[in-house]
Amino acid sequence: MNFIRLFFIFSTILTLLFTGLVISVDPYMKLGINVFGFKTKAVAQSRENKYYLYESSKKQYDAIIMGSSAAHRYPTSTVKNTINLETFNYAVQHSTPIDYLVILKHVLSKHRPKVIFLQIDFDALNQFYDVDNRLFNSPLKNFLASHETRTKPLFDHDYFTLAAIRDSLRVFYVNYFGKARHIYLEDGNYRKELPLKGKVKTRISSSKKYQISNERIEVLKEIQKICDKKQIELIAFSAPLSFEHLKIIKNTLSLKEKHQKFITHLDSVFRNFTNFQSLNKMKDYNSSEYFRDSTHPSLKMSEIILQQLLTSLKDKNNNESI
Amino acid sequence: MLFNSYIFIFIFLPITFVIHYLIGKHEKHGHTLSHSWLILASLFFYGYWNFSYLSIIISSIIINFLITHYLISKPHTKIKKPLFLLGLSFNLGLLGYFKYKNFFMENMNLFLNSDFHFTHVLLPLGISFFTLQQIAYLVDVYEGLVKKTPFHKYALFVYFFPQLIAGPIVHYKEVMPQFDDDKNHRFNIKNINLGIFVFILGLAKKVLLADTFAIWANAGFNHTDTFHFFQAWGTSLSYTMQLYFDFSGYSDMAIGLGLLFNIRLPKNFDSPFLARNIIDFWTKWHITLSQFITTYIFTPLLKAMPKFTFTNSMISIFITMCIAGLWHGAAWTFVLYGALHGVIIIINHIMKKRKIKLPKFWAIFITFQFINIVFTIFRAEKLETAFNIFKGMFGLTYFKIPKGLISEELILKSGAIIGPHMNNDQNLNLIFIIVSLYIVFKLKNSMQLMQEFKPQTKTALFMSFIFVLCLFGLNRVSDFIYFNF
Repeated sequence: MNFIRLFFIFSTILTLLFTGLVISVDPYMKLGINVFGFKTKAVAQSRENKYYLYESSKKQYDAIIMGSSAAHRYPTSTVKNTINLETFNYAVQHSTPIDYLVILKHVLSKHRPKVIFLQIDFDALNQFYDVDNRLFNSPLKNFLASHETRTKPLFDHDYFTLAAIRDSLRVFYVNYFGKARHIYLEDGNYRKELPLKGKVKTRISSSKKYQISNERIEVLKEIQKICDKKQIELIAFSAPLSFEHLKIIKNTLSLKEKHQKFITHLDSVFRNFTNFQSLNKMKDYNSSEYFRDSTHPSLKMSEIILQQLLTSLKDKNNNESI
Repeated sequence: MLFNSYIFIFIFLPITFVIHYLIGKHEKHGHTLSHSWLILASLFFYGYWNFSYLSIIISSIIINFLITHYLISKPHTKIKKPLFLLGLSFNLGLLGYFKYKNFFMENMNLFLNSDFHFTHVLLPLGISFFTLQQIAYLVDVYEGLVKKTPFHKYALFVYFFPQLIAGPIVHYKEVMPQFDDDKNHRFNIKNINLGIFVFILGLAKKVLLADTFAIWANAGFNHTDTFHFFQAWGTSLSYTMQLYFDFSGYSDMAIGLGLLFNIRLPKNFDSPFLARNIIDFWTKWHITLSQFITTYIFTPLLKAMPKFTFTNSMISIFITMCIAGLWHGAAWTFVLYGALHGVIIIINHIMKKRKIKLPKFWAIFITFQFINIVFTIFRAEKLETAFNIFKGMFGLTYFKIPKGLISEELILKSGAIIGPHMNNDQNLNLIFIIVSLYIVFKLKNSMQLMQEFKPQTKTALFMSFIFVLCLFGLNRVSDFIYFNF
């Protein structure tokens, strides 16, 4: 019996130790804990990385790209080359309108841009799609209104993984022995990727539960209001989805209705809104040349989308520079 | 239900274990009760994946039992042979329908240039394993080698959850006497210690090694068109290691679980990469399948030959290996996998006959290279993919000094989730391959470790450490490769 007893005792102690390590280091900044006073969480995600990139840049950005991970690949050079504005890509993963409002406030705290491209996901208005805890634990939290609190449960199963243990040790390493490294390049651009081949993988996350959040629509209205007040050209657009993805939405009655509502809401909130979530618009882009998966446009697709938005902007202003 | 899942480790196993020993204490009906409990638990374990599969396995076992029971009860009946053939056809028909129908129809359409529409049939889990086990039993019954067995024992012999899905393929002679043994219904601390030890070794092979290699192997096999030398070797070695650790890990877990119930399942692996030739390899790799195909395919085939000659036995070997290849899966790559093994075994026999012997190092080295190559064919969905990898491996594409064997881009392309510091991992594939080669070539295998096992404090500490790491790795739950066969 001794071996079994020892085995269970040791296993319990080690489980507690590893769990304690991960929670105290909080490598993904989901818990807001910093027991060891680390200067950086090396594996922190885009909110922290982009905040510091934007803060530390000497450039004055006149165009800002906002959105979720689906907007990561919008190249700032396309905007710069077309309308000659210094551009920063401030897209952050798993984001909702609350993130965009906070980011807008951060941007305005430094400089007033002339144009903002705001990409909105179908998921972003789903009230069951939680605001990411990383927002509340990133430096962006300083721009949150006092009533905005975390909605996601504190403990996340991502934390009880080998990757979390590994990343906790990395945080120690980076803070005491090494240098932090970011996946985002200058101006918030995404690192280079090799093109994909084959069929586009479809990822539908909203099919289980979807309810349009009125609160988030109000936040979008506030964003439009601030832009109007500051005389910023706000170009809103729905995040492009692959043809197959859109077909699934179209063929799923409950989703189809909600999707129509989603588009209608965006169209009514924003003065300048373009819908890319239409089968007609996406039918020519049904391959992995254009999508890395059904919700993440490739660099090539991102360029096409930006070009279309810029063309209509130029047409509207009838001028080469804004 | 997967062995490498929280629900299995923390809910299913403890409940099954405790109730098994509690009801096993019953003086009069302890055996029957604990057998029935294990059958119920095993059915739940099996049905957890897909409830509809249960009807297939239950009907398969009832029909087999009825036929074998009749044959045992009336050994001299006139309908002995037709009944035996009926049983055999039923089992082969079941396997053929669920496993080979799609393959047959696709090939028929291809070769006849036809366009027959057919519904794709889903392969029920473990069908290849439980069907083989029942065929072996049927053949032995036909040959008069089996005594009358009550239904619950027969059902347990097939259903026993540790070996139900992917073996080891057990022979009734190995397990039936153990189910009967009184002392096997009592709590045996020695077996339980050993069971925990072997189960955790297997879990570590699966969760820490096989699932990690899977990331590189999948990334590589999905994008073979731009391969250079090191990427090709990284991919093929990653898959070879993944397959070995995955399947031998599963077998270790099955053996460990068997021990928790005082049942000793046969070993399935014995350091196969130390084999000096392919004949030797098949005595160390998937041992229970090798035994099955030798007894139930090769021997009858050879007996059916007009004369017992060297040539005829070589022909039998070749046919047997092609069938063994096809058993693994319904695709031409599997047939080729079996055929290549057949050819090399024939060459090995010719060498043996002519007393040609290679030095130990070269024999092991060449055998391992061959295994690595055929496993690449085994994994590739198309032959073209395998040839692309071979081109890279033999330097026919281009040679590039690697930053890591499998580049970050390839992993990204495969859709694997990686952290922002993937750059630090670029050489991890190389490190894992070197460590794994050391494990498979230099360290004792789990069956040897099992024999030397002593329940000491340092062992408990080491096993706890590995176990906790595995628990943290269970979030990336993945099926075992052999579940597909």
